[in-house]
Amino acid sequence: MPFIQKITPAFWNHREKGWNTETEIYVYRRKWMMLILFISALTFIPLGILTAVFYQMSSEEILNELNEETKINSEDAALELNLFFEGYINNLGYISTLYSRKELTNQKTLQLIFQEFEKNYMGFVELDVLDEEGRILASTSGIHLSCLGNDLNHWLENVKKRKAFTSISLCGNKHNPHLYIGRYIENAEGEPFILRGTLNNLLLADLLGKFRLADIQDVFLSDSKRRLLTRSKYFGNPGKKVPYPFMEHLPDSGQITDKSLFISKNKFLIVGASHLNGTTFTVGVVITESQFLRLMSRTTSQIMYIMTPAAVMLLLFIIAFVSYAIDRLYLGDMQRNNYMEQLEQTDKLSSIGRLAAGVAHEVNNPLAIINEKAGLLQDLFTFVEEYKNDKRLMDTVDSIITAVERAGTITHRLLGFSRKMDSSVEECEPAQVIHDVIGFVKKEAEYKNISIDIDLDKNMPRIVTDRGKLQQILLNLTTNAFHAMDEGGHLEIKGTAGTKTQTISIKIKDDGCGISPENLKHIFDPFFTTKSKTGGTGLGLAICHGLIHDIKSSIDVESTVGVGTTFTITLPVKL
Amino acid sequence: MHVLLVDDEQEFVSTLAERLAFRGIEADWVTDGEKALKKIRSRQYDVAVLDIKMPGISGIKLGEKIHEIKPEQKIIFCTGHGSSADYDAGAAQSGKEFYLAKPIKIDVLIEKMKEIQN
Repeated sequence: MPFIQKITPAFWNHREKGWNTETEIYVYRRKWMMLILFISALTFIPLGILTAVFYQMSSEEILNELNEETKINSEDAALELNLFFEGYINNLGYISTLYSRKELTNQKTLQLIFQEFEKNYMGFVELDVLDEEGRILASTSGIHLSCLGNDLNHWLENVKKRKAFTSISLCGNKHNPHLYIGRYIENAEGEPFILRGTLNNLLLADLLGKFRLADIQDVFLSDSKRRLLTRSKYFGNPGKKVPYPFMEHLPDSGQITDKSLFISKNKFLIVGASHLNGTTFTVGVVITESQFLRLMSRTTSQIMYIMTPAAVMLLLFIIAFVSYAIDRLYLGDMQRNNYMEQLEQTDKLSSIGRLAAGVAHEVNNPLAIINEKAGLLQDLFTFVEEYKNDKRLMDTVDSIITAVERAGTITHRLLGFSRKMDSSVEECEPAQVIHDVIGFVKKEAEYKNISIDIDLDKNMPRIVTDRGKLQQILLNLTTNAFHAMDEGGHLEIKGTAGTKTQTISIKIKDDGCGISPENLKHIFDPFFTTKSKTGGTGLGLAICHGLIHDIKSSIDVESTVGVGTTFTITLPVKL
Repeated sequence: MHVLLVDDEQEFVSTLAERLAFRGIEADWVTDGEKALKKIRSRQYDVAVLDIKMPGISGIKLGEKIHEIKPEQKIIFCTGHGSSADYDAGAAQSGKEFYLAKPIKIDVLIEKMKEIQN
């Protein structure tokens, strides 16, 4: 048997008429599909929701982690920048210790100092000496202008207050950033003054460039008004505003979802910011959605690796479970239908039986009178010499008596069919019952030249049953077999102990005309006969069926037209 | 042989008596149980043939009453309720009682009468 057929459930190809349709439909297959859909929905919807919740929680956790990481990155960048600026502040301090106010305020001397200093400590592009009012006392640029402009007073205040101060001013229309580092020098020898160095922008740009690693996409500096002081990949050139998504308490980080800022396919940016100590600067770092997606893809893979096999297993389990349940339902329904059919058959037999009994009894009495009257006529013709030799009269009376006998046979059969025989259960030898029955029909067998073989298993146990009913069953079946056989036929009766020893079986096999498959379905129906022309009443096997049921036995029949018929009765050892 | 026939169908019982007479068997007949008991009390019969289903006293009851009067009385019961299997197998039998199914074959009846008498 092919594998597909092996695993196909019994109900799969079963079709029957639906309750509201004339066409045949696959009733159980439909139930199977409905149940699979229903259970799958019940299983997979919560599973899907759980997965979605898990995914959402994972993404939130990753976002939180990224936020925290961005905050730390901004702190690290602030620390680095602080060290960078402090280095130059210390350089200015170093110059003030090496040279007096007088030397530094001399233009030529300052130029020489700057040239000497530049050889060892690269970075400053200008060096100025200012008095407390901000007036330039000496300058290496020779042009006594700076980008500080209006911010100069504010810058001076900060330098004097903090003793060292770093600031960035945006110069000109292009907002070129100028980085100023000022140091307030108070020497015992004279008035205090301010040493101001203008830092090369490239140095700061180089330093910020070092922070731009794989994860960090952008680093920039902004002032207290959130104005960009250096160029930013996402927020533009110096002078533009940074849309920090958080309040002033730094360090902090947050998400920006402003679409106008998105480069490539990113849908959000995470921005972190930290204050630089001793300045009004804020350093900002940016990481993009791609970093988030990279981390999420790992989670997605994990979910897929766990959920896909689990979902497949669940689906297979559901299909197996539903197939089993529908199969059991189908087999149960089929069994119930069989019982219902048997019940209908029994009920049909019982009601016809009751009807038949009433008719038979009422017909029997007038039949008895006709019989006696015809008998009397026959007697008169037999015993009175005058009519004795009148063959025509004798034949007429004989035919009346024959017809009465035929009618009597039918009424007797009807009564036998319906009669509620008193149950007389007794222990008996099955072999003896079979021999008794054969005794009754021996004459008829001899008359038709039918040979009878009796083969009885010696291990056949004694049985407790209704002997009379068993006799009648066997009598009807053997009579039936005789009618099916022509002259010279062969009847075989075989008795065997059942395989489970709690039953015995009796087989009655003839080599008669056989029964066609269409007729085989109806042989136990009352009044079904193929011998109506030869006086068959159609009650013999119907009676057998009822009696078989009475003694809790079963009957099977196998028949092939032209080969013969075998009836097998299976009886319980104890009724 | 002298027999008593009891059946509520007069046509049946009178004709049967006549047919038995042709065969040398003297048969009295009555159509109910009361008359039958009178007959039983009045003389000796070799066999009583009783119909089972009769108005008034049923055949079975009549049989019991007859046995109360004459315990050794041989009885053959006739019944319209009998089946062919009973007919073929000679029905249930218990020494002094026989059952026969209607319609009766007269030869079978005579055979049973002789059998029960012996």
